Amino acid sequence: MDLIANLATGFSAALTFTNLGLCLIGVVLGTAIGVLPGIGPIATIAMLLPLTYGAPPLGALIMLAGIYYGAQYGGSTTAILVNMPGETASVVTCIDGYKMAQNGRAGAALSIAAIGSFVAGCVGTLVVAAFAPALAALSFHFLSPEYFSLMLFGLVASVVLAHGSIMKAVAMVFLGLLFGLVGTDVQSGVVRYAFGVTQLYDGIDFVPLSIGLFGIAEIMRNLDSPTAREGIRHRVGTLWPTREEISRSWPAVLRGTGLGSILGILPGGGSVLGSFGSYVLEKRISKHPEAFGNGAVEGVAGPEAANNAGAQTSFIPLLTLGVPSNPVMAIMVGALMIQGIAPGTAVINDHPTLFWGLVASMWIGNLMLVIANLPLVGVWVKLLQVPYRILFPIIIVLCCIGIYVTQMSSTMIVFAVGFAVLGYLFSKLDCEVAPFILAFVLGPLMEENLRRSMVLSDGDPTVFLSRPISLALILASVGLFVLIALPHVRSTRQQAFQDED
Amino acid sequence: MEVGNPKDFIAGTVFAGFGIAAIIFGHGYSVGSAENMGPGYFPLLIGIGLILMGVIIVAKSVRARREAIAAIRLQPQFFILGAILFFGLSIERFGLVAAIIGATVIGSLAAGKPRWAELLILCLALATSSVVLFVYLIGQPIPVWPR
Repeated sequence: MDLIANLATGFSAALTFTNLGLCLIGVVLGTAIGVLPGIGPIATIAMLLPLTYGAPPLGALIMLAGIYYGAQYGGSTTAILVNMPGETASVVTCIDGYKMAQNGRAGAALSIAAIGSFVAGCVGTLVVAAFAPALAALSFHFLSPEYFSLMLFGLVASVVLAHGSIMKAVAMVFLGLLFGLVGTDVQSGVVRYAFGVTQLYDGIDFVPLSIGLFGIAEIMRNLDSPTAREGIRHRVGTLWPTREEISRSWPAVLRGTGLGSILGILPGGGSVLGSFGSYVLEKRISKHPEAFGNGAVEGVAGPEAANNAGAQTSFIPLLTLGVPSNPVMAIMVGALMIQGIAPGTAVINDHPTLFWGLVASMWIGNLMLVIANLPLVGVWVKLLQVPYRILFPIIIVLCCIGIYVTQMSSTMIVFAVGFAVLGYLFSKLDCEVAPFILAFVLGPLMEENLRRSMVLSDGDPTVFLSRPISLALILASVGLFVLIALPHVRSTRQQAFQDED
Repeated sequence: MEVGNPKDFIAGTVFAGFGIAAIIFGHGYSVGSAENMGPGYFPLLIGIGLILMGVIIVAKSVRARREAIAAIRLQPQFFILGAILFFGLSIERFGLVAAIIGATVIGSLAAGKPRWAELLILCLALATSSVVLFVYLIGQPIPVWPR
């Protein structure tokens, strides 16, 4: 009954007229930016972050949740309508979603994606509500060695999920850790790698880094090949799915939800693992596997549900242990910090209204998604028809304002230009940025926990192996590494990523 | 020198370069010992890791099959970065409206020949909506006009 009482607390805090309004604005703007080709949730959240500054903490969180789900759904819309995934998680949606669009069923694909996401979101929210407090209780068993091993696992997972060379992904992790070190070392007070720039004494700000690497670098990449963009060539058609589409979708939605919820909790997993896993699962158990790749509705319903369920449950490690498990959660940390909230066990214990309000807001965000987005499909279609030469200056201006208002400092804009160049260089060299950004956020935490662990054990590195939870996490990390080295898994991984480019 | 995969060759060199830089610029931070790590310990580990990965990637690239780097068009990139820099350098002195108009004009040059009528509408729309949204509705203390 605790659960219901807690949820009631959350809903009574979250369900105010202002908060609902903020959530609605978040969902609509999040979708509007997320729909723009090539702009994924990370860049969207970074760009829209300043909109939340004026609101009180809970209102800001609710708006952010709206932006996040909106951005994700916007990515799916682009995937279905123009076959361009804004992020890794919607890559699989492209496969059958775009085929459905070619068959004139784009409307049905969009509404099934929305409703599937909503169902998954409801379940995901319940999972968070049920498991987060339990895991928070478990966190008393988490000392420095466990934290270190957990983050190591997250980084290994991000390497596995990165496409392209594993070596380069590992190097990107190291580079991210290095950039994370910039600034004052909390334990000794020594300022590292700041080169006398005072704005770097507190570390590199997350907003110019992420907008530069993801937002601006993406524009630069798009302008390299101006002809590569596809427009909408097909009619969207009715939003109503047929009876047959519904009966084929709902089991897929439920399976996707289950799979996505579980995989989302894993550090490094997030929504990506779930959507890939769900697609493979649906194809395998289907009576008509040959329909996949030709517009199978299950191939949209399952992954979209898994994607959204994973997006919810990936909040669990962040809210209970304070460890962001994927790049999107990493930017959420940034957003929470700006509101003066350090994510972790303390949130559940010290700010229960905030925690349960956030859980409630996840559900509200998902509801808003269905209510606001389906009627607006026509608007998103129009938005996708706007030529890129008009869209990209708008994105540039949004990026600039977004960066400037975080610190009211034009130095941040200069930093962002630097990171844009770096991000563009990385993409030219086929080095994926996701492991870099996760390592950047985890870097200072990892260093701190490594140092504490070593103090704890008098310099004995076996401390990571002698504690059961830590040992399990280390074994899991090693296992993952061995797994991707195996030839069979390696080829599947390459296959899974090949459609992306 | 004939290199198998120039992309990986450059990437590996960049990684190793960052690793070497990390160690050179971090040589003043005290390393300490395993049981009492100083501020230089973790940077040293990362520097070594970067150099190691860089060397492996370079070594593998030499024998890999040829793979050309995708075309780079410098001109659009120049205008985009220029637009952002203009925004950053002008916002405090000349205000949001001027910064937006300048960034929009410079930025859209990246797409080739400007269509002036379209550009004019875009500038006005962007400037007005940004000022209304960020300054009046959200109340960010951004300077709007030149001072």
